[in-house]
Amino acid sequence: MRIKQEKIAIIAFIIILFIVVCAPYLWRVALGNTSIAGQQYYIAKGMANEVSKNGMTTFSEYPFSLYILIIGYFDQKQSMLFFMALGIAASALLYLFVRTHKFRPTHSIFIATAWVISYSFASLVYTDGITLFVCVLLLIALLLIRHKKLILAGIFLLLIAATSPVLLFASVMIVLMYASWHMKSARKIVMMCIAPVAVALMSWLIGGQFTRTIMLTIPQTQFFQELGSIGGIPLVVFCLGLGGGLSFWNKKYKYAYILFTIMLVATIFIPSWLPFVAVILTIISAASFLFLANKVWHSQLVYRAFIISFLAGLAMASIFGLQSISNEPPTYVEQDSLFELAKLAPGITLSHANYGSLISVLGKHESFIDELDGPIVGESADDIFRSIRLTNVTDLLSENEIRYIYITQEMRSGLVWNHTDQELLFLLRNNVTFSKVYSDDFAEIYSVNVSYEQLS
Amino acid sequence: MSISTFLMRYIKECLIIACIVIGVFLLRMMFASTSSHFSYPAYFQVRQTENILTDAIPISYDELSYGGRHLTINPIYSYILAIFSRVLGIENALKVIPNLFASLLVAVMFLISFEFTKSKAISVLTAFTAGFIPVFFAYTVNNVSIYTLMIPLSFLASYLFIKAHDSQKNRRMFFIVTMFMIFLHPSSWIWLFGFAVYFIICWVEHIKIANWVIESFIAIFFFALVWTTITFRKALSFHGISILWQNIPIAIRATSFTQFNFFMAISLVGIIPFAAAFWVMYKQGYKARNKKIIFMVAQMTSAFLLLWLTFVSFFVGLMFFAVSLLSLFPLFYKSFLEYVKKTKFANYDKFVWAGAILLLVLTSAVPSLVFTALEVRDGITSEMVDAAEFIKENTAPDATIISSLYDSQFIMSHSKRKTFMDDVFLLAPAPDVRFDAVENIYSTSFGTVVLGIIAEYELENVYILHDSSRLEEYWNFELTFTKDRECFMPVFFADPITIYKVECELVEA
Repeated sequence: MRIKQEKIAIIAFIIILFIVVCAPYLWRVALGNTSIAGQQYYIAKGMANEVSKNGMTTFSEYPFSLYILIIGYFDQKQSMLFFMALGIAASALLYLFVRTHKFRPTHSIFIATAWVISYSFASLVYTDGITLFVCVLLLIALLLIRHKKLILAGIFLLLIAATSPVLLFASVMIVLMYASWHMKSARKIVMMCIAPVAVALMSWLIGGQFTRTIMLTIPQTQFFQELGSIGGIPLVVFCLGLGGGLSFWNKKYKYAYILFTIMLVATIFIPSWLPFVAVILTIISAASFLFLANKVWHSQLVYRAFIISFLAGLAMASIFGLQSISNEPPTYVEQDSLFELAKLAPGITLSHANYGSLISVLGKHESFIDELDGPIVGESADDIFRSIRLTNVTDLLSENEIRYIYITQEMRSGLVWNHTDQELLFLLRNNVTFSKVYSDDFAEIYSVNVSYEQLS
Repeated sequence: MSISTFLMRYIKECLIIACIVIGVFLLRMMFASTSSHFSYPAYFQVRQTENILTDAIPISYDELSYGGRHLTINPIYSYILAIFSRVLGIENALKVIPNLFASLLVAVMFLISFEFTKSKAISVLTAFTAGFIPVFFAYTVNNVSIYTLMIPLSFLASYLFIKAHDSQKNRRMFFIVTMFMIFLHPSSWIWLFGFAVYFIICWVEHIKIANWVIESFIAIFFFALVWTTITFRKALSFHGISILWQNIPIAIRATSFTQFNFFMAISLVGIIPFAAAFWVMYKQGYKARNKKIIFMVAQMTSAFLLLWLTFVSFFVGLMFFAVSLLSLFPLFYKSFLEYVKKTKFANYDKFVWAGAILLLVLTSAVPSLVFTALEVRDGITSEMVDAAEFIKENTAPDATIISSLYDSQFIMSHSKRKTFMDDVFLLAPAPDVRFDAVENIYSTSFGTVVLGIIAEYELENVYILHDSSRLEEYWNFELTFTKDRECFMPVFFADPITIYKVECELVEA
């Protein structure tokens, strides 16, 4: 009977997993949008393109990152399949990891399913590849620690250090949390973490990798998914996780609690740690749910109301989450304008920094400014956007060898300008200097009609 | 004790309570029927109910508000009103039903008081006082306010919670009523927050909480969380954490609290319940560690904290606070009578009773009637109706009306024209900026400033409604820029209301 239950649970888990992993992508494809959702992939791919051009050295602008190296090898479709495979691997590893503890097999499946449903998983698969990659490495490391293969686990932590130092620190926190919760002596684990932490610190201090790879994770503006955060924690998961954590309080786990509290507070300053906090909270909340669901309640009405409310909350978070991921930019309209840009002759393209990597990856043009550029380039771009004299603009454009200007509706309505005829927008009316080569509801592309030689 | 047994045993008291309920209801109706219109804040609810009656669904995209914007509301109350409107007609239903709901607070307070004191006389006195809580009476008579239902329901839930300690049947009733309350309106979070405060007080005081209470709280909390996130999903993701302040412009939040001083607030709450509650909190809650009283104290604390943190509007917070205070009053009065019995006044108990009634009438009933009279007086005037009628008859359908924030809903409801801004702020586009713009329009001396704002928002066919009596209260200005008759032509005048048509356009040089 129990084996049959387990089989049914595994089948249900696999079905849910495939729905969550495939649905947003299929939905986007159905809408005619073959691009990967979110900006993060394009930043990474932009870095990978730069690296393939200029090489990857310790002191270069784009220092070594395992993730960038891998992304560089794949095109868009292969990358999407890679992320899907990583997602499936991560959920399977979580199931295997939970199963090695005191949970019944069906309960382990439920915990893994809860993570898959709880939106933070889908947001990792679709918008935060580097964190998903690190998640897989971390889960392997935890499984190895569980089986007392510490040297191998250390190697996996080193791989995380080579991927992203900022995520390595979160991973080390989780490993230490696990050790202080589960192991009698955490000394060996601490020793094991020294080498990866040293590598991460070195790459941060020498190569500035810390700040660079931080750009690869999605910037979180809100902690909770319902408050509009991509990758945020669903409120039901947070509340039950926190409540469950507090009710399971035991003095002997105090270090685990302290470390988790530090992580929770740290997410305010390091938002890229949020997916890790989400995984921990999901596991605790699923365990709390199982505890509550299996205890005797004073009233069946109250019991049912709780079960339905929690599951509905989880499901709704997932459905709305998948919907918002499906609609994440670049949308098919954005994609069209970028594909049009790709057809034009090569040349540097000016746009807002937010569109830099999209222009480089989908538009296949060198972008004047992208998300990784510092304030100096930002100021140069701003000088062009804010200029009210045509001669100034043409000088600046020629100085920077800018061939195209890519202007989106978002830039027109607040991101750069507030009025229809403001600054550069007004100057673009001059059809001698600028000619509109493409226009749709989302974006306009202008070609700069002045030869550089003439101007210089 | 079943309801039928209760009715049989306390038939006389039940009749008295029924009389008080009817009396309070009739008095409320008397005030409500002094005007054929509703108070200004009612018109949002009026429009929603009208829309349900015509289209069977509430307004989710309001073409008139802010020139067109999405709305996020919980429409259950509007549906309840629409159901009654089918039977009674919309005007009657919106006058009668909210006042009927509000009058039922009398019965709820009788039950709470009787549960605490087991004294019929004290409970009747408390019930009478409940009918005349100044802030609740004055600000719900003609507003079609959801709080006419939410407040009696909240305190019914509190009563059932107190009774639920006795039997499983009461627990079920408590749970069902609470779920319905949550289903109805997000202000149920005030009650839920009170429940959480109850846990904190019990934890601090080392008072053991029964398992059923914890289980009920968990289920209720998750239901509320999920229901709120579903119904207000758009607003939650749009506003983020600032949804706690409901997107109300900072300037309005600041002034809504500073308009009222401490004494004004106490007189709105009722002086006697206010003083009595603090004595009860100390004596019965803190010293006697009575869980039932602690629950009511927690509810009061919740209302006070949320009011203090400006998470609820001034009047809403004060209403919950006032009723919570009143629920503790009977305990004070019981102790007071017991004390009197030990003194030389023991033989004059009738005089003590008469004195108490007189005091309550003077501190609760009289302020209630005075505040209500003032509220009704400040309602919609015949001039405003004429102005709205003028707008409806003489302006183009796409015209935009710039008016005081609080007139907008009435204009939208009556004239069916777009307004620049109104007082429904959730999902409203930049209400802070718009409020500044409105303030600028009504305070500037320069027509160019007004035209600049109109150009900035790309408004066409604009009319400015100036109610000098109303605006003087808020901005204390006259529209001096309207001396330029070429640009701002007065098209309607009925003292104190003038409507100006904007005839000029600001063009960039």
